[in-house]
Amino acid sequence: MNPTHTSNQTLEQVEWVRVSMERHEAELIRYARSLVGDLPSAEDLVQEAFFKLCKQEPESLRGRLVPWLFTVVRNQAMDRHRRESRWPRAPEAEAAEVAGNSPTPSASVQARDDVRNLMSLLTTLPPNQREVVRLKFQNQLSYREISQLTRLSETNVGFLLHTALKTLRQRFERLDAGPSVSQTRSNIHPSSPQ
Amino acid sequence: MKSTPSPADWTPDSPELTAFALKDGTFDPSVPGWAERRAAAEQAVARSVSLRAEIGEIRRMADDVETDLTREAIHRLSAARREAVLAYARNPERGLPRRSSARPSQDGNSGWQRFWSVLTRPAMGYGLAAATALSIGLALWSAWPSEPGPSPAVAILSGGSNAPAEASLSISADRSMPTQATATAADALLIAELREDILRGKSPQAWGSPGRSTESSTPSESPESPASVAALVAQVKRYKLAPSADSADVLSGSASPAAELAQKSQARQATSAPPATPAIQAKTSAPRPRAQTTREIPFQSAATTPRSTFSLKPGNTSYPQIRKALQEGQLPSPDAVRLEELLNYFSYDYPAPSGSDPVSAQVEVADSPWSPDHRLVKIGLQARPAPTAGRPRANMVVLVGLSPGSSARLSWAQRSLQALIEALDGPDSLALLIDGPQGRIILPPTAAADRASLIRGVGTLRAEGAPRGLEGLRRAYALADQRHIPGGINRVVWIVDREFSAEAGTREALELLIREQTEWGVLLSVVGLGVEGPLEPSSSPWMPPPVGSTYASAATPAEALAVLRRELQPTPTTVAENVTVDVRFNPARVDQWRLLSQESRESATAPKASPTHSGVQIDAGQSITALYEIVPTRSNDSTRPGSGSELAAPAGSSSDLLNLEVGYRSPANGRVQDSAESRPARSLQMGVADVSRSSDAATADYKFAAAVVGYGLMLRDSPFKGDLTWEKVQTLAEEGQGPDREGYRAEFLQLVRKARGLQEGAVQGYKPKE
Repeated sequence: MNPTHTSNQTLEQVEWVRVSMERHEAELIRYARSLVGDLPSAEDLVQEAFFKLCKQEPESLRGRLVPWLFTVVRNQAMDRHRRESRWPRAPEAEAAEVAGNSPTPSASVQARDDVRNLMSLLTTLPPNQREVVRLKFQNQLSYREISQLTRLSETNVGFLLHTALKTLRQRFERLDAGPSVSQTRSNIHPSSPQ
Repeated sequence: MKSTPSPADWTPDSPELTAFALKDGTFDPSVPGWAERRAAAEQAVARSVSLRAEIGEIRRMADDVETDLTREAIHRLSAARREAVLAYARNPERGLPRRSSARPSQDGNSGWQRFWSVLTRPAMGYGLAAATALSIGLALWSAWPSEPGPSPAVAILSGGSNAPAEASLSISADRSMPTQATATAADALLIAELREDILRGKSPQAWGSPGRSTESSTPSESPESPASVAALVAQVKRYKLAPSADSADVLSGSASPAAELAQKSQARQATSAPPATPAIQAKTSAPRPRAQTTREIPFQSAATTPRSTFSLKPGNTSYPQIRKALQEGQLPSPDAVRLEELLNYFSYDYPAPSGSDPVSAQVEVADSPWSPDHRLVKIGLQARPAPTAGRPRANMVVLVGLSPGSSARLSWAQRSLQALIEALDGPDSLALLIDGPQGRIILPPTAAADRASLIRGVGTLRAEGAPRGLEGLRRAYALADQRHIPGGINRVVWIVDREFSAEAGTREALELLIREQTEWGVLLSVVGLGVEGPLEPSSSPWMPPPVGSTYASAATPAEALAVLRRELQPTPTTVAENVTVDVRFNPARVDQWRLLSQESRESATAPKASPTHSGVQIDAGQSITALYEIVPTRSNDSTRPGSGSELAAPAGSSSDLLNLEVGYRSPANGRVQDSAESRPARSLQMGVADVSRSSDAATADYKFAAAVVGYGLMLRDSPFKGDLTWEKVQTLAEEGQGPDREGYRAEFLQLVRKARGLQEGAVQGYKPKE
């Protein structure tokens, strides 16, 4: 096949895939990573999802592209887990690498300090609550989208979120009671509009 | 949906309360019947102190979790992986690239062997094999943009004829990456590239630019000591983690140079004077990851939530994204449509403040074009303009780093530069050099009085091979030094395009160079020509990381002009600090209100009491526009009983629709570090009377603002669009054209027509594939 002979439709399709990757790869990798733990495997899952996207018609996914991509990634992660029995990864994977590409361990440790408490509390939640919290607050999916994705009922999603937030709050308050942590607590709330 | 307990039966432990607080689940405005449920819930909440407290706590926790989760590291697919996907999209029949779920090393090895046996067939020649090795090296490099240092892949090249299979193994060992994925991705990439290049009759040896290959085989040749670079990078990265003004403040307490620099540059980046700079992305810190699914802010009850505020720094990516999608014949994803960003892409005509006030407010009220029994309130804030006379002298150096072959962008750059020359005054100077293998200076620093030489210089501009980045920038700074004007505008403008990528191993040296020069007073602006949306320096493999410089993208020639012209402006002066906007609705006149904006972390309701909230500053000439849609109370209903009114803040006159208060402190005269509390807080207040008049009678600016937001509602197919039609949007846009000196509004009208055609086509069964 000669690329110069590709039809307009193919070009459109390629462009659609390209734009979709650009827009969504980062959030998908983040989600995939929370499912499988390590980055290369997460990238595998996401690349795989985009291979699958190549086979889809843009029209068929209009308005539900994001949930579709998340669903594919999730299903693949489940498959992989079934094959390799490595689901979910040990919780410390979640707290790791907040700082990303920091070159030295000390820099990333420092950088991580600010968010460590809440993030490590997050890892103490049961996996299903953790996942729902991520989908809601990191990926900004709605109850309904989360319910479609996880095949839980919407009521169930609402219950998980409610419980998760409540638990986090209680544990945070307990932490807050200790003097050493309250300092960090104030640091992680810049709460500025910009 | 299962029946849920009625709000009257809620306890602080009801999951429904969380859904209500998060405006999701059954309180998602797209769920049928939400309005009644919400009304009932609001009543229940208004009656119960404990429920209200609980809601506050839930929202606070949710905000915190969201803030922390969105700070998590961002990773993107490597260029090789992406290319493999695109190669597959181009030709799915060929099947997926080889890959296996077995453990990487063995399988990857055999894949590479197969692959190499294809490529190194005698007929293809030795040169091809060598070039292929080089191109693998490049592909792998782009796969790890953020890891400076020697690339094992490059060793293949310098070693000359290493056995390929061994090379692939050493890669996997060094990088601890799964060989199989890299191999298959690079495999697909190579085959696609090979095919295309052979078809174009390009010799394979031409793949890697000589500059790149020699540079990358002798990595890390920068003169700076590695230790100091590492320390600096650590410092800068620390700063970059701080996503907001306030965290920068926290850091600046430690007086680290990076934080100080951040603060200075924040003062600078805060410019966004709309007439000259629509859609300009100016940023110095790591971009905060955007919410991927956006929701419009729903109606709020004025009885329970009488106060609102709006963002003084709306983003600016939505409009260019939508334009790009439409130009490509696609409807944008509804997520890309952010009403407040669309609205503020355009400038509107507001009177300059008079007297001692640094900011003026203008409010216009008319009936909503899409729900005639609602009002649409347009609020515009305008900061005092910068003094026009007495711009300091400018010493400009333009570094052109366009990739060869983009002749359209080159002529576009030339036109923009010609316009820049027009804007220079006699004593200003301009120098021009090309970032390429030779790094040719085509115009030494030349006084603007010698206009003919400048124009001639711009005319001889061309791309001369792949831009190198670091070396070119060093030369540009050296030129800037020749004419350094103390206290003047010393600026290097670096024009790049999408293809640009900093040379391997030079990112840290670039960071250091840029930082040094910035402190020395030579500012850098990176302009991405033909780049849609913001330049995201920290996440793009093709950009050096940001250090105290501005980054702007220009998707159209008009935007390129605006960007370059802006670079001539002196550092913007802040006219007001700690600016807060407080809109108070009068529950006697307003039943419900809604800010036409996407939801964001900062809540549209009630300015937070926290003192850290008030860090926003406004620069000279800046203007901000917000639209509110209001459901008035029925006239016989104007004296309502006080259900929930204990929450209502007192409004001004009882006939006012709303009360607007803009609080601010005048800026510190000396160092930014002055305590804000030492300067008195002032405020500007105005009551806005209710007017019922048709939107037909409104001003052109009002109609245009309504058209822009209406366009957003239509593109989102918003549940709030009332009886809005494309016809109506188009009429509003046509009637709202006004003088339109820069042609932005005319372009908008075209986009409206385009979107209309696409959406109506889609409704009639448009399918992109048969």
